Amino acid sequence: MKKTITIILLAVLIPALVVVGAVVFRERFYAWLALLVAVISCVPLFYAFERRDSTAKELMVLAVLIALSVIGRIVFVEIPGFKPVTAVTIIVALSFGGEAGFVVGSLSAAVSNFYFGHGPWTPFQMFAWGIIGLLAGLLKKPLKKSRILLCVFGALAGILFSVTMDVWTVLWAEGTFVPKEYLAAIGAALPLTVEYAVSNVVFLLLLAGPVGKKLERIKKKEGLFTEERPTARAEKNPADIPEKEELSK
Amino acid sequence: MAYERIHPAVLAVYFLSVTIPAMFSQNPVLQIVSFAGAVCFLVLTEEELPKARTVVWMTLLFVMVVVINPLFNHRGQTELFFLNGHAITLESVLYGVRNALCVISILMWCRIFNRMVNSEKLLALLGGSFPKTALLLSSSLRLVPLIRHRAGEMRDTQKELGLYGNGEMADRVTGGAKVFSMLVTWSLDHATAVSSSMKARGYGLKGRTTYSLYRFRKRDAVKMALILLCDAAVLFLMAKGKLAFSFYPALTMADGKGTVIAVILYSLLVFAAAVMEGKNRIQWNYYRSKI
Repeated sequence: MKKTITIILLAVLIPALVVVGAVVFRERFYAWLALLVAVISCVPLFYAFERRDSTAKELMVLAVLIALSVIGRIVFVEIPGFKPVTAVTIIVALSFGGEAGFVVGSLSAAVSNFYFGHGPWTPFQMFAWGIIGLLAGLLKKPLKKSRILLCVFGALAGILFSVTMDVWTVLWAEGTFVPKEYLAAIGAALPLTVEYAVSNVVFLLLLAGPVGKKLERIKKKEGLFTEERPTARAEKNPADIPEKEELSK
Repeated sequence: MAYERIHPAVLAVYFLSVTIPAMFSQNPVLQIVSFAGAVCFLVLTEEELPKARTVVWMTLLFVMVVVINPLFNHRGQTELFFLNGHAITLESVLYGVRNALCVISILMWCRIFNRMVNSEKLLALLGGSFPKTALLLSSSLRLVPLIRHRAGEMRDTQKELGLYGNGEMADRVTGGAKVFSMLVTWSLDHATAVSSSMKARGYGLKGRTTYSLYRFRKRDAVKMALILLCDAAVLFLMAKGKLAFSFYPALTMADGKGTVIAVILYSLLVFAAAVMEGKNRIQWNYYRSKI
């Protein structure tokens, strides 16, 4: 029942917000739209996380990892763009899966902005870091095998983060999306982009080995984030199970 | 503080109603109103004067945002001077001022919201539909200072034992890495200890409810209704184009009765927080004077 209400609410609310924005905020409609996309794309992922059974242990481990990546961001505050959040997010995703990566990435943004200042950029950072975690989780098999691939992914993640934040910069300044200005913003942020990419690679090389090992150890020891555990949905929905059997045949 | 007695949901709706119109309207009047409201509230509630660093930082940010726009944007018809063959126009400078006011006022409102809705209230607010996310947010907010403190202790111990000096760069880096590694181990163990304690207290059991200190009372409903009414009117007038404003090629602004009403309603919203706080102050001083 609660689930149906949520889905109906989302199905009504999202188009309504878009229409309201188009009518009310005509001058800065694209900025509104972008903010909406950033917020709305996080909602279903958090919702899926809420629906999943997780133990208190898993939650506390995630909370600790969020806190560690926030501390990393605070420690390196003197060097702009040099933050370990992306690396920690990727490492978590490699050991604990994409969902955990998403949660750690996006909540690290939310929590660290309590220290650095919240603003309309918070949803964009949550979105960017969350998606990086999700992608790392999807690609975890090849990324775990090859160090080089991991570094390439880290560098690309830095670029992805920077490019996403540039969308917000342009929309914020102009209210509408001007491709020419977007390219100019990317150009202006180039040194920062390079720094993001380099710092990700550095942090990944430093941390992926030792921290990854610790995460694997605690995962095995406490039985965290095991994939075969049935989710709440699979239990209620027997239709899901034959599908899996078919796959195994 | 007056806001302590208000339900967090009302505070959240209030925050959105104050920031969103200013964020998504070009009209600088809204930015000025929202900035003034934030300053009033902060002056009334801040126990000590704001640190000089914050003021300097905000001023720097303001100047930076103002300067950037005319450098990249050469639209507008009133040329002030030429720089590298590009016109610096009055309109683009003013647009920069609008953007800067917007950024600063939203930063200030976020700061106010942070103060009004502490992590406990955030938990109550998100707890209904996103209980796990709320738990993660509030516990990691608590863990940040705890782990930092722990890191300081570890570093001091390491130094005291003479395991790493603080002279050379390489020495410091390896020392830092060592502390970080210990920190990860310690925090993960801490997490499992905390979670055992949570489990012992029945976390995740069926039928377990969370206690919430905040009840939605009649006075909250009244406040919420007033805010939403103001919102509806402001948004309606915005949709009618009563707050339309454009900077390029020349400054043009909608005017008339609708514009005045919209600005007045928005100002009522923005200054409501400061007025409530002011009233509270006066009442407090009055009662104290009678003792």
